[in-house]
Amino acid sequence: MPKRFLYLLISALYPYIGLSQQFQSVSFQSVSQNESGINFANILKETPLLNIITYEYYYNGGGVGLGDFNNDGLIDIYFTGNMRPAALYLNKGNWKFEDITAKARVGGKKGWKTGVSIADVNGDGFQDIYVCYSGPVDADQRKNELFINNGDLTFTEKAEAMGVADAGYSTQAVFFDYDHDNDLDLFVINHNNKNLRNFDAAFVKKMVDPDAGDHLYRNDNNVFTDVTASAGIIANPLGYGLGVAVSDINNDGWPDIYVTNDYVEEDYLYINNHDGTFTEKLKEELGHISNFSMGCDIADMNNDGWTDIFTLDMLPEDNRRQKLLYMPDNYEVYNNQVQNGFYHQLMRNMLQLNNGNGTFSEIGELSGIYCTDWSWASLFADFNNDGNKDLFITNGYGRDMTNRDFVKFYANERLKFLRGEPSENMFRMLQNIPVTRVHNYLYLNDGNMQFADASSTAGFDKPTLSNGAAYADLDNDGDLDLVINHLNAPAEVYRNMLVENGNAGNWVKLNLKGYGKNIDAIGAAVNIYTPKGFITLENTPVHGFQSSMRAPLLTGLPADNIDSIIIRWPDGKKETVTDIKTNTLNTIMYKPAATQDKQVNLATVFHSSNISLPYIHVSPETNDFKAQPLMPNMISHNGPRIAKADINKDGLEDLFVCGAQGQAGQLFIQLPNGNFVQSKQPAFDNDAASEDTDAVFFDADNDGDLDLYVVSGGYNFSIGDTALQDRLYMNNNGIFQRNATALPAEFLSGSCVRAADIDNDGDMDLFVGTRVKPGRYPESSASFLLINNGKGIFTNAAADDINALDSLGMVTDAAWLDADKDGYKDLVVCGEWMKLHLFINKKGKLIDQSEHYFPDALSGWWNRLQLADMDGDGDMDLVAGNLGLNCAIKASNTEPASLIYGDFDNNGSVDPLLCYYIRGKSYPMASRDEITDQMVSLRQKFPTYDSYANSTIDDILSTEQLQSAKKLSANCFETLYFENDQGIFKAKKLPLQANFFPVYAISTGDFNADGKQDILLAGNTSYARIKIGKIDAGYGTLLKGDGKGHFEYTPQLQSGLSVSGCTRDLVPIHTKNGNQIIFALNNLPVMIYSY
Amino acid sequence: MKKLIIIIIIVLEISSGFAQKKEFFTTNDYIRALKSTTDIMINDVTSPVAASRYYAYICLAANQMAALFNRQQPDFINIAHGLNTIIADDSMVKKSDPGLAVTLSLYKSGIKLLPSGYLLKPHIDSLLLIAKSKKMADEKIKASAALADNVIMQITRYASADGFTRLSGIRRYTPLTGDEFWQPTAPGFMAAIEPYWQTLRTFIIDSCSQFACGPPDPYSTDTASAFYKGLYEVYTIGKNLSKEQADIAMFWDCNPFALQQVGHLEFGVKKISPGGHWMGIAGIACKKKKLDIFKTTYIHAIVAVSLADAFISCWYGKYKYNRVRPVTAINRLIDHHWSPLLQTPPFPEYTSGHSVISATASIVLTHVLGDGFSFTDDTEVEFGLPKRNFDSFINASKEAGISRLYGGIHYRDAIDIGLKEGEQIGKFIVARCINMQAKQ
Repeated sequence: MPKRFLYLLISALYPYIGLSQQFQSVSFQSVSQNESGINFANILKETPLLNIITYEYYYNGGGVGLGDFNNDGLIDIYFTGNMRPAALYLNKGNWKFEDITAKARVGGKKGWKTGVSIADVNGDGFQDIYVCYSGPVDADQRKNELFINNGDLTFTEKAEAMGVADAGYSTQAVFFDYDHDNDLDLFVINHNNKNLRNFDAAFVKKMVDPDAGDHLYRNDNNVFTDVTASAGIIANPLGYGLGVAVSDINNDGWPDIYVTNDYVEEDYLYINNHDGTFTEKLKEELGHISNFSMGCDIADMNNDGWTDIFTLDMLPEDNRRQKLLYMPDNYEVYNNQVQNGFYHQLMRNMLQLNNGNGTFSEIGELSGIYCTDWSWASLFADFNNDGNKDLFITNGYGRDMTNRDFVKFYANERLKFLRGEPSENMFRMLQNIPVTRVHNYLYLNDGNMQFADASSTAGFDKPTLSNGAAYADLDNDGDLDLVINHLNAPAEVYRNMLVENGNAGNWVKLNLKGYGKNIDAIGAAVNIYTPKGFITLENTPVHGFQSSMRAPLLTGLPADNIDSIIIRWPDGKKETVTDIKTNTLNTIMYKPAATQDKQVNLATVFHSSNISLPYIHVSPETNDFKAQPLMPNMISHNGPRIAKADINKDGLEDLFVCGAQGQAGQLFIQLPNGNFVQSKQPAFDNDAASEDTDAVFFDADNDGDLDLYVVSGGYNFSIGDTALQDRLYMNNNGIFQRNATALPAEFLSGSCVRAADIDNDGDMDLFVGTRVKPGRYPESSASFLLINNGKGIFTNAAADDINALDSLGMVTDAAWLDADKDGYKDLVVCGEWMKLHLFINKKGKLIDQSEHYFPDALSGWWNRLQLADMDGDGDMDLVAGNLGLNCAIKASNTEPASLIYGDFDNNGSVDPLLCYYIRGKSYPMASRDEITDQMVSLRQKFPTYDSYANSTIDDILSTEQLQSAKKLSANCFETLYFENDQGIFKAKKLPLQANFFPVYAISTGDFNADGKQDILLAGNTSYARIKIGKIDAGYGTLLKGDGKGHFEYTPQLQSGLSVSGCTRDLVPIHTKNGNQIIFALNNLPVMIYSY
Repeated sequence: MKKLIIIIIIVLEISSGFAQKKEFFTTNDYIRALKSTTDIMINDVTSPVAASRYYAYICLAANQMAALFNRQQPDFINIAHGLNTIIADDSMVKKSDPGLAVTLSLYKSGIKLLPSGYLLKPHIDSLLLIAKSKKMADEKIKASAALADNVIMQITRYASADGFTRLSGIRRYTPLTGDEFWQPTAPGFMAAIEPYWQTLRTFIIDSCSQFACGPPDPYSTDTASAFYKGLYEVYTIGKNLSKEQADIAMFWDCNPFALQQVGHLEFGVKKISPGGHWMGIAGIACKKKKLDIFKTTYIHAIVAVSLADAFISCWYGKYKYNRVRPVTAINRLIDHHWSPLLQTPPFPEYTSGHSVISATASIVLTHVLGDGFSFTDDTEVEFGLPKRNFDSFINASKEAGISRLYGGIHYRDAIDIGLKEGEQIGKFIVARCINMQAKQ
């Protein structure tokens, strides 16, 4: 509650951040063992022969299987234990359960039990139980078991007979109908039991390992055939499958599969080809994924009709545990891994928002659910009956062995101290590693893709070791209860108190009845339409970790009644039902309409363009972190920007595309047919060594044609490098020739150039923004003005006139406008760790009046500015691109991000220490190893990880160092719209999607031809510290304007945009073939859309 | 708890320290003190090169301290580059106890230089208590401690100018592109260790490149080439390793942090560094010869600075030639699944560091203690390895060299040429040391 209060307080102080949503509160109560009669406990007794060293998945725990085994309308509970028999508890109603394991004969054989999958496998109307086996035991003991329900609460084990006695190291299995023949097929995920560390990826990925690889079994009349290879399922030895979920991800009516893999092997996303085969498309559709992927879930968490993917990892929530556990960033190793055929993997939970067009936007950090420690099960379900799917997560680990002090110091000490047999030593050493008990998490969904942590108010504040978990309405009162299988403690049943507390709201329960052998209509999807919104559900029993929940679908409702529901049955046929009763169970029989609704062909705003622009940006492989290991983002890899103008006066816009370091800028001439051809310019080729950061066409020498100014910048240069000299190229009948004497000498790393007649003398002058001193982030040089003598010769403006520009900081963009309407152009400037600045031009002298024009005083990592009259009131409004909110680093007035820097250890290099708030306190981002490698003297101050784990900047730097340190600060990372309100720029929020990614490119215009100005945003980053990671949730974001300064996100499916990669400029151009927009992508060819 | 540790240390130290009565502190105390600095370096996982630097300054501090008391003590002034005369008040020296001052200077320089140097503080407390219990006058104890502080201040100032602090400011190393060049290796794929170490000031040799070795056999995939044959030799020896060869490889492994990975469980098994091993041999030899603390101090100092120079020289070649490690090339060219007996150290292959520094140390030790000096090397016992007997320092160094071939982490030419390089360095240093002693 105090946290929530603080949150409200911050929201009040700072109107740009904060959710307005009020959450329906929810609380759970653990039902006592005495009351429930459930005394199952998954107890592990470590022995020298069986422990975390002899079996690396020793602490993965057991699962939960929920289903109504006697069809009495009450959901029963099945638990798997690793070293003990499983247990089946019959629900007798009123929270009483009876252990019928022995009678039912479902305890299972000797061996290491893992996942459980409940399904009516043979389609006889009774739920069966499939149990997975793993562990460091013989293949015979690992064979999975299938307990077929005899209909009388006894079961017969038939795995071998039915062909599903998979002998791999199985984690979980899922029954689904992948081939639309109305029976349930089986997918089993397995994991390797050995460590694969020293290998050649290309080689190993081609191998097949039947024990580690996953398997697909096709059901033909209750006999299953292994079709793994022919169906296109990967079964290499790198499989460390920990989670599996089935969902119709692309809404084509056929089930797809997601598999999470621990360690280096990436997860798999299998798209169903409708012909009995699958195509693995993870790298095509996802930008980055969890590193040590564990449990997962797939559900439509934002009710947009497309199911989203969530995977769990091991990142702790608080600073201390992050510092103790997080491996040092090694960009090189990461990069090698990607080049070696693996993928972008980062250690945190990932929420992959399905854009519906074959792309996903990973927004875990924006959603607030990315760090829940060593996590197992994730369950999306509506726990507070508001119609939005909330998220429950289990976690905890038997031994805290990724603790860095353990790795570096403790393990060796203990081993040395202990004498005797090596294995005995290791075992005894292990027993001294503390247990990591963590509280489980319950997050409430605000309906707009963000989640609030309700763990403690909902009753999940107790630290536990929890693995498998499942939900169902155990007491049939209309809310979802939870069953959790703990490790080394009794399992718990949690009773949802919504109804008891009188705030159950409205809900609906649906029991779908299919046909054929898929009698429970597994794989059906339901759309529920209410007067207050739309809810989607999928009838898939396997969720989370090693668990399954075969029960009627249940969701709360935002309204009192339901207009209709549309069911898409597992065979793809649809059925609309209107007489659905709320607050009760509805059983719906398979009765699809004879006529199917036809596919609506959505007209998109943008379409792929036919225009040819043969340009590929080729950025050299540089790693800025080699020069400054502590900087947050690389400065290199930030092009290309594009300048456009009609340079040959044929009435068609031509383009100059900036070149990367080592790549010459290129001039493209537009042909009458709209295509572009390169115009070879030897003068540009001569300057290929420079990195072009920006360019502008303008008439420098007043001869009536357009000349070109190119800014040289970048990071990977030495200070004073001549390649940093900006360049002026004079247009000589379409041949550009460099005038080497037209510009004053400067060797600064520039970032932008904007032309205007500053002194109103009839020629164009220039503002040049500079960013960083190469190798000395975040030190910057003064930005400057170049004054034209009317003949294209430029001199620096008088120091007096521009002293306001001296200490601006790391400028990234600028624009000229007449803010005070005095006829002189004024200058807006933005930058990294900067506020938005406005300099009023008093007859050529620039006066900083930022506080007046930007009263919100928002300092951020601003990348881009775009001026346009968005609300049609005749003055210029501003869109400003920022880091965004999809990053662990957040900033506000009360909790600013900061950068403390200086050469603290006198080694000649600048140490930039980035600090940001984690749970109310500001800590440095650098891990102990990172900071002590850079500032060697700190090794004596922080000899252990523990000694560093709680340190703030005040603990790290001495008083003298703090006094000499320089500081930059940011209080806003949001991309915002600034409305010009009688000359003053006032910040207004944009839709959340505008903040999915760092915005580097902005275009405004009436893209959807409704007569109103829209905003188009693009960006992303992929050269960040590993701790920050790739931010790639943007695919070109169209915000539809209403002409009054309000904007609405246009889904990708409707905008038609699907731009993968890092966009660094957006350029609208007119051609004979209509309007085009160019996405200038870093290290990729350009992409062009027409509209 | 801290007190208890001190008492335990005192009991241990008193019980073993009664050999000589006239001197309060003896060779045994010196060796024990130096060993505790070794233990800190093991704890901190100090890299072999960094360890050699620490040993050099710690042992040099003790030697320069000893020289204040003993006119016969060889002095490194004018021998070690950039070293200034230690300025100390004669009256302070007279008031101090030489054995205590020398021993204290080891601990105190360790505290100043080593990351976890603070762990040495209880040792100092116990040393002072022992001095008291041996009835050393309070004034003498205080004077010795003050003198040690003074000397350490001057030595650490000397150390701070050797270029080490600059290293963290240099652009981080990027492995070169090309099959012939070194790449990070399993299991840790650690970044290259100290790629700019050759920029440090040398102690006695003129420069890092004075004893530069020639290039190695050029990389080739041609099975008839010298390189490929050398590569294949590593592979076949690794495949057919005898127990004796494996024992030798393990004995000289000297890996400060052998990474163990079992799933998410990961930790390092720590061992003494190659330089630490030779410091241990120096101690064994001094004890065997029953040398007094002054001679012991000198021998350790000359061995330590020689090791430091040998490492600088070796590192020059390593990053100049940047040769690929056997495991990388064998996995690529011969056998995907092969892995060496020893974990491959994270830096280029040529020349073998252990060969260079062992040869240098053995030449220097032979010079100060004589050829044919047999000894039992028990430095690795605490790491679970047996003792080994050697009939000379040179033979020990040769075994150290060839152990890297058995261990699968070096080609034979890197060992042979490395041993030669080390021998030349040793001989040069010996020649300079003769000068140093002649001056006395």
